Amino acid sequence: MPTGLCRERGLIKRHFRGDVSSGEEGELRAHLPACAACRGYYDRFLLHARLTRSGRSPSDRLAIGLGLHPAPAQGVRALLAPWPLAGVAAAVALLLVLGRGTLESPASDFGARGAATPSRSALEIYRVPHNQKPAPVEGVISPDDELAFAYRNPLKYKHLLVFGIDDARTVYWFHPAWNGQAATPVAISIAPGVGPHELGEAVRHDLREGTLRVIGLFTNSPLSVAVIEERIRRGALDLPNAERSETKLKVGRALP
Amino acid sequence: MQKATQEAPVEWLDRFHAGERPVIEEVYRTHFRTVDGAVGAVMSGADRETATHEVFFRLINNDGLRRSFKGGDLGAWLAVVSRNHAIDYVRRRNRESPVGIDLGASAAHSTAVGDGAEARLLIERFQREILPPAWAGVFEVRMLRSLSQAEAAATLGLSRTTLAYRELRIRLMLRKFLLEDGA
Repeated sequence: MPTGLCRERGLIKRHFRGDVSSGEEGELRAHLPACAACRGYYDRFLLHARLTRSGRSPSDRLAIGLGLHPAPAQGVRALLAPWPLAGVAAAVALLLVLGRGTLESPASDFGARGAATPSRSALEIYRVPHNQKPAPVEGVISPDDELAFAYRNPLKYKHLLVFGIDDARTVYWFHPAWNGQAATPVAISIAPGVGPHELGEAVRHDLREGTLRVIGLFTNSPLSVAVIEERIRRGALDLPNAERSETKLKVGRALP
Repeated sequence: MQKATQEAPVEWLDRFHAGERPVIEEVYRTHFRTVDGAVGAVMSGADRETATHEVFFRLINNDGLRRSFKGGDLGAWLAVVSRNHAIDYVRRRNRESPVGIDLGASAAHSTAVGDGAEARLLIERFQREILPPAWAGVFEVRMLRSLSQAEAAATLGLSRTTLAYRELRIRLMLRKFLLEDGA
């Protein structure tokens, strides 16, 4: 961290990630009234959330800092807030798909969060057919489906790449977005926790019929797409300190 | 569970006074907007959220505060507690900071994106220094006017895929501009 910045800036980031203990939240709240710089930084997070319609709701964030648990309805609204998936109606539909039965059930005592959690990272894939509601992928997609994703990150990796590889070893990038321009983007930053955490907008590629391996690569390094494509070419996609969630899909003729 | 609505039965009141966790959780969920709204009438932004946190922190940890509620409209009681707390917060903050909060000015908490002088300046700087001119329309319709993707695409004459791609890139730029260290 650059010199001259308060250590509490790290607590601000963790507060907005929903990854702060009640003790740390207390430290942050004691600090903010006396520090204009940190209040300004906090307000930037609020502005970012408002502009991008992303992140947890204020009630959820403050609940976590108080050792309370976001109510299921509030948790669902937090999932709805960030990412418009092919329109608001589709986002609501995806939210219902994600929310039903997939929200974690925290322990009942204050300050204790999380029952037993999955031990593996996972990428969830949803297809968004044209003008229809999103639905979890069930092995088959149409070549012109938009795909949307959510992830689970119990091991708290910092970055994620989501891409597809077809039978001809053509790579399709979902996250980060890359259309082959000169500047190669790097892995996106992701939130810790079981989630599920939604990822951005639905993305469409002109897929070939055949098999598509959709891979979520969880890593602690901001690897570039160029590095990953080189590894794919060499058939060396297993990386140290990384975890891969892979799903094989059949890209078939247009589905209803 | 008995909800904290207009009239609190004796049993619920006893449990509230005792600070039973399920009751406090329910009070938080039911009355967060009331507390946040009462505080928000006095201040905004980080201060608002800190003061809201403090009200609920006191409710969880201060036995005496809970017992001062004798029954009746819990929401109305919380609104008064919250406003008083917000006023005390402002006085405390003004003692600590030369640029304090003006109690006389209406906080007029607005949900409009970009409300507040500092927020407007940041948005203008982002538009002027960072945002590619060709993408200004996407930023305007999606982030400032909050149109849906379909409406935005139609307004700008773009395909949804193109709109989504540009929006994703703008989000990345916005995050870097607003939140990265040094911001």
